[in-house]
Amino acid sequence: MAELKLSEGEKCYLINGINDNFRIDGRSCWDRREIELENNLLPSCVGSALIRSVNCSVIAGVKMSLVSPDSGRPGKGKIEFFADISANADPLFEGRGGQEMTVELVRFFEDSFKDCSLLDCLTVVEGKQVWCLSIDILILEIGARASLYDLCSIAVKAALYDTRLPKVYFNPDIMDIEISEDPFDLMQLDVSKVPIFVTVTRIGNNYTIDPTQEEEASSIASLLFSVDNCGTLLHSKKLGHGSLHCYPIKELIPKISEVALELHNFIDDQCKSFTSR
Amino acid sequence: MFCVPGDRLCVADDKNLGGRGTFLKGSYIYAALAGKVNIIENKDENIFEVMPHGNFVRKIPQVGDVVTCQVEKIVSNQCKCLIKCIADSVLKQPFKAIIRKEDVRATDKDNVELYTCFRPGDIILAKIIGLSESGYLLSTASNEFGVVIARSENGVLMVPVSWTEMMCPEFKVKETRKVARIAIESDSNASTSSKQSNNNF
Amino acid sequence: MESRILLESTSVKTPFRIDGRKPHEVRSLTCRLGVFQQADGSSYVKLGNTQVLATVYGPHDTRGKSNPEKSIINCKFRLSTFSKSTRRNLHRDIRSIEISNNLTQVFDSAILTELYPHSQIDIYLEVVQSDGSDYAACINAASLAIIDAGIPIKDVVCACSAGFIDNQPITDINAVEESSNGTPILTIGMLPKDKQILSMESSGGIHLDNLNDVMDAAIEGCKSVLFIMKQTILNHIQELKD
Repeated sequence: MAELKLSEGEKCYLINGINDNFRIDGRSCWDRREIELENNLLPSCVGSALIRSVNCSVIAGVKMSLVSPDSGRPGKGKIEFFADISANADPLFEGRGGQEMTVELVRFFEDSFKDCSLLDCLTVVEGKQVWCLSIDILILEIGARASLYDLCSIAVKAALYDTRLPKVYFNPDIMDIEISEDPFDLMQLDVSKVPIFVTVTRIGNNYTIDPTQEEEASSIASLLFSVDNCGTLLHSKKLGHGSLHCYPIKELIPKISEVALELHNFIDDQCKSFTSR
Repeated sequence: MFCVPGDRLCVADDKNLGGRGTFLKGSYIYAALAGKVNIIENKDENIFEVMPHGNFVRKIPQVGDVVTCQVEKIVSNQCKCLIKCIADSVLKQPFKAIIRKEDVRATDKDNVELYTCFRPGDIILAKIIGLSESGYLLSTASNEFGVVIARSENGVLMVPVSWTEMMCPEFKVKETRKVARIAIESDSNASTSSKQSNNNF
Repeated sequence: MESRILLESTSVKTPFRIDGRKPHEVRSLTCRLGVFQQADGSSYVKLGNTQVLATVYGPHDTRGKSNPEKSIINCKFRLSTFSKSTRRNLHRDIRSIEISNNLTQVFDSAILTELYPHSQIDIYLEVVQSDGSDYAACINAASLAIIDAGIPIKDVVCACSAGFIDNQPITDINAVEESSNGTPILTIGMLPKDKQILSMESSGGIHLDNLNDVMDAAIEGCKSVLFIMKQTILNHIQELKD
């Protein structure tokens, strides 16, 4: 993913188009490109999902383990994140090349999921044993960095939707918990409160979502919001080197909850159609 | 006829020669690429070549190619550049190259001051004359090679004035460069096409 | 723990393996070329449950030393963290480095590197799901990716693994058979046209008398794999031409 260099003329053309709500591929500022979602493709994980957009692909896999909870939060489970950019995306990411980007991504995920209500579903025996979900994100292809966060969050939500944890019973004979061996005795997680990330990029006078690489090269900065399906903002961050005015950000806020809700509905519909098959 | 690498195309003898995308082994010609087999039939010989799918050939700079490069830095006796295009095709990743002091001009080679010929950031047309440890060896020792696009110290795009000077149109300041003489297209609008060919890069 | 029966003989003469295959049956193989737009060449191989993605970048400028006679091949193999049933630490895996080196040697002999002196070709392999025969699947995936990139290569390099259980040579080992104690495994990567072996790796003890049969089993497996790979390549080219 080399830094795309645009000439002044190309940038000018792009920015003027966006000011008139017309992007170079014909979309309007708030249109998103097609996203393909595929569930349940990795048998070694309890939940997995593959997201493909035009030139961005992400796989998320969820694995489970039983651990003892944090002493300050005895009733809550744990979620760990790990992200990695495959060298498939660009030779720059060979070995430890992609660490900068992945560290940023993982930190943002951890902050958004800190107080997620999902953690309450993961308790087994309060104070003693909780589920710890390890979510691994593998980025296979990157287009624009701004749309990467959105797609990773969709992949994680879809993978969590797909996750099936075995039910745990308390066996009084051995005074210990017993994990059900029945392959169909499974528990689904309630992922309705899992947040989705929405990145809005400031280009010219307008904010847009899902920028292409050319649009990102002509942008000023991006704002990243982590929103759940009730419209609660969990975490936000500014990305990029430019500076932003405060008034347009205030105008942006109702639009963001609309976009986030649309994404939540999209994932719910797609995942439901998979389970019903 | 489509082929995959390793397919035997024909017997290698005086009549049949292997072209692009093939290799010779034993006494047969084999395909080395996946694509369509093309047979070019000349009078006494047939040339077998394989056109790769997608119809583009993987190119790396070869000795004798005319390339477009950008100057990176100037050291006392050589100039380091990055090869950005080979003839018409733009490369995805640039290749490292150097221009030695004695290869800049055809005449008066010893008294060349590199800083008066090139500056970092200039776009140059050059020819590859060899390979060295630190990259390809380029030469601009000909009229049609040299600086094509350059910016003045104020950042304004300059216009060529002579083969040693370029002028900034805004501040009317002249700077020394080894300027390339771009061939003028010979049609009825000779003057307009020469202006166009200067701005085309 | 290893009391599973890996090879079950029934009253019928042919025994069955733990996943229901006959001894010389290769798992179902699907391949696709050109899965990534940004890479010069890419491929996806699914051998049973083992899924591998390969990308090729090059030839481009070297990072560091360059060879004036031929192109440098840089091959990196990686098992992703969720590929096996237990999570893995990515960065300190000696086995991955060993496989990367082997793959580099294989493709150094197969690619016509003299055509691209002073340059480098990068091959990246990512095992998304590991279910046995990772190395063989990787050689197949890398070979397809190189062909997709249009880099001249002597032949379609194909690979297959073989093992020996209960005096019976078997082709294409899966993860269960691989992890059980005492199963010797042999992986062969070859240039099929000339029947030349580019890579041969074995683990576990095989008596030399049996080595012949196991090698034949692997080479037969390579032939089946080659057939599907060639079909995939031809379909892909014909689709592009249309």
